[in-house]
Amino acid sequence: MKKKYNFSGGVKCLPINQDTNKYIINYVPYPTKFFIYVKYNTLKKNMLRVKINQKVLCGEPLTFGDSSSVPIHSPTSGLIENVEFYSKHVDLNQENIKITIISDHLEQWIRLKKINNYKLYSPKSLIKIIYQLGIVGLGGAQFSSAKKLILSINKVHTLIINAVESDPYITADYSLMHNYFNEIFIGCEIISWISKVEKILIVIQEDKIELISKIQLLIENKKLFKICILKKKYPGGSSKIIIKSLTGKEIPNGKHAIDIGYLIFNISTVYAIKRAVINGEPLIHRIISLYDYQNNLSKNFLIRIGTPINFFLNYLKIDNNLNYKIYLGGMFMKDLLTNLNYSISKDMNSILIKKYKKKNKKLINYSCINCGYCVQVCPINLLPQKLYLYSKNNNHKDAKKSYIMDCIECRICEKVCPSNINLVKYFKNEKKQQNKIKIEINQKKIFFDLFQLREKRILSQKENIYKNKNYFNHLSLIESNILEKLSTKKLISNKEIEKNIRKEILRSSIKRVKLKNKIL
Amino acid sequence: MNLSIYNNYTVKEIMFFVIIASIPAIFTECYFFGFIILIQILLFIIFSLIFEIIILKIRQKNIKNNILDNSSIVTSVLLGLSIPCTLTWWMIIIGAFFSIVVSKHLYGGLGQNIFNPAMIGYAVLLISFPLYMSSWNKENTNLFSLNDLKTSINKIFFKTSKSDFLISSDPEDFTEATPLNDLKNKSYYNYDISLKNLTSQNKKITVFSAYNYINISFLLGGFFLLYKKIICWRIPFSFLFSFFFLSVINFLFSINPIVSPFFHLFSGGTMICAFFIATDPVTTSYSNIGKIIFGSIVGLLVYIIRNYSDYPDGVAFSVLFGNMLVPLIDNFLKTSGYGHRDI
Ligand code: SF4
Ligand code: SF4
Repeated sequence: MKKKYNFSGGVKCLPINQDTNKYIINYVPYPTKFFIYVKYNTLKKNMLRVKINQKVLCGEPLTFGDSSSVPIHSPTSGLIENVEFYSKHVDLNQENIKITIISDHLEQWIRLKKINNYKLYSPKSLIKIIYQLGIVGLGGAQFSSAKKLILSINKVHTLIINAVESDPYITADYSLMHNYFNEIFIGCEIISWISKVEKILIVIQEDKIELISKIQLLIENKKLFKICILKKKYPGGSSKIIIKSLTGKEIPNGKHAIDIGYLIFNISTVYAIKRAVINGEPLIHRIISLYDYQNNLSKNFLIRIGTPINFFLNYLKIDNNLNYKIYLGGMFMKDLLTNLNYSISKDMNSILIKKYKKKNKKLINYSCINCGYCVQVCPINLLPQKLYLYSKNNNHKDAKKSYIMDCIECRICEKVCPSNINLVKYFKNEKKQQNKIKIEINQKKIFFDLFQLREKRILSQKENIYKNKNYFNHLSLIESNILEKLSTKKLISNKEIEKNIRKEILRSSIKRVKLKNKIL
Repeated sequence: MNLSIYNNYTVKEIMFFVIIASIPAIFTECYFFGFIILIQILLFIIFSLIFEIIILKIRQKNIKNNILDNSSIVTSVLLGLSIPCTLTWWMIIIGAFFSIVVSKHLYGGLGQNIFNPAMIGYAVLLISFPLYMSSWNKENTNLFSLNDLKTSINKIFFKTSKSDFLISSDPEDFTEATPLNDLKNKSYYNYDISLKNLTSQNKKITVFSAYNYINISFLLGGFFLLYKKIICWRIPFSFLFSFFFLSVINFLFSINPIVSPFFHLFSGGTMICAFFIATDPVTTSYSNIGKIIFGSIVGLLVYIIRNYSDYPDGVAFSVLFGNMLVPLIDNFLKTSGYGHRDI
């Protein structure tokens, strides 16, 4: 047996049977209305490309992108009904823009540029294609893949393909590997051709035995590929933890995995890159797994981005009445869905449906008994009970010293806590406070800099004037006879000095305005 | 609660398992020392619950939730197991008061206390009533004292004559809570060579064997707790290892060896300390290395107190001293988070 990689912390989960989830259900009918949510703060930089009552084709870009955000494509052909502000379901403070598209059920595509031999193209042009077709990391972070690839050129030596699904109820990646492995293979080769890596590691968890043997057969005579088996534990899917368990190194704080020579891609991103480069398709599908407690099965669906969840559940004949609770995300990282009109977005992984039970047992919150279960379980060596104390008592300094910003909100510490404390709730709140403090400190710094600049400017102006005055007095006293000769010249120079002073004032004011813009 | 994770307990369940694990020890103590032990434990539970209700009323907390966490019952069971069987009811009240009110609720309730509540109660009783805490019942020569329910009730509530309880101050008499004190006396005076009293010899054997059996039953309970993963193996094993190691050194290198290290392991309160008292989660360090340090410090202190001080069994004081060091240990063992090491 091969070596199994492991990481400290984490919990073992009970397995569920995986008979029904090998297959992807390809066909979900198109709803009449698609809702697409664009983040507002990115939209300020990238303008909208469409107007209300404009016809769009399937795959047409709706926005211009910029360096940090990629264009977003229309999932269907039809009419744009409305563009409006809207707040996301979870975070009410974050303003989004919502684009409503009425589909005409004709499925007219734009012309797709197919590439048969990608090796004829330079890496830069391939990256441009990937950027224009709107591919982001589908693991949940939504980091632009094109940017990652640009950064990685001539810097990385290993490509890590992340096929780990720590959550026991998500099987989307598993079914993707099962059905489309050849395409993923091509995707890996494309990425390795772009960023010239020496090794490709496919990371997979130990319980998928069938799949592992299948991949091992396929990669037997290929030197580049290697398979790594990770222990079945929650959480294994985060890139930080994968790198730590594979290599023993940690990503330095504030840096990216690329900086230590590793490029990490989620398996569905690799698949999307292949579709984009070879078939020319923009990213408008994604695979979502749905776990239904009632029928006790988890299924995977290929769904268009923008399909309202309401419609999707109706199609599956799942009644969303008060007896059920619908969550986004898996068993651990779930968020309660409050708005059923919310649509499927690029960073969504799975939908969880739970039966709502009237609680017979009351969950009593005891106080923390310092048992240390949470410390042993935390995958990144934090001290949750200390953080809980600090954040409860508003002790921001010590909370920052105990590295609260590193917490990945995996919620295991909350699950194992015998006192049923909602630890992550406190951490989220504390993180918000920390961010506020950070912004405040930054603002103070900038204003202080501005103040100093202003002082300097005024001082230099005074000095200039003082110097000039002295200079003239000096001249007039000593070289009085030459003064008459130079009178015309002096007048000119006097004017020049004044000009210089004015220029300097202007320059400093421009500097000030620029700095102010930076703050805002 | 959550079906997808193994070994997920609530506070209530943890405390309940501790009570279950101490049942064999209760039975062996009953077998050797009579029903008086059961009555003492019951009295402790009743008084500590009463004190808890009163103080919760004063602090205006939810009485039902706070009592249901079983922690005060655990404290009183452990306290009842560690005291000798000569205490009367008003001493029990004092012990319960100090363990519940002073050491727990004055520090801020469950989870905030620095010192182990049971050991605070024990230490207070030991300091204030040293004679009672170190004297032994005279009628305990026969092993089968299960029938003396009436006499034991009489002893606790209606103590009539002092001579019934306290043994005359002959130095050769065996009058201590644990056989350890006898060893101490021997090492100082060498009495056992000059005076040989048959009855005291007989009693010595019974009590020696009783303490062996009690320690073994605590060991069984401790293994049950380890199997259920309620306590971590680090504290008991580091404690036992350091204690055993030091006594082996003492045994091998001292001029006139007195007791074997195995005798030290199975006498007095060694096992109850290792598995039940030192592993109290509230007052111990949370990190793995900190637990090992804490355990070995307690082991060292127990060794020192037993061998070089005037107290026969140093469990209570060494645990309390270890508790004092815990915040210091925790402060110096902060973990590094993620990705901060290299900078
Ligand atoms: S939620 Fe944060 S503190 Fe808790 S286990 Fe996960 S990373 Fe650690
Ligand atoms: S698991 Fe809960 S009770 Fe235990 S130390 Fe952590 S926060 Fe406290």
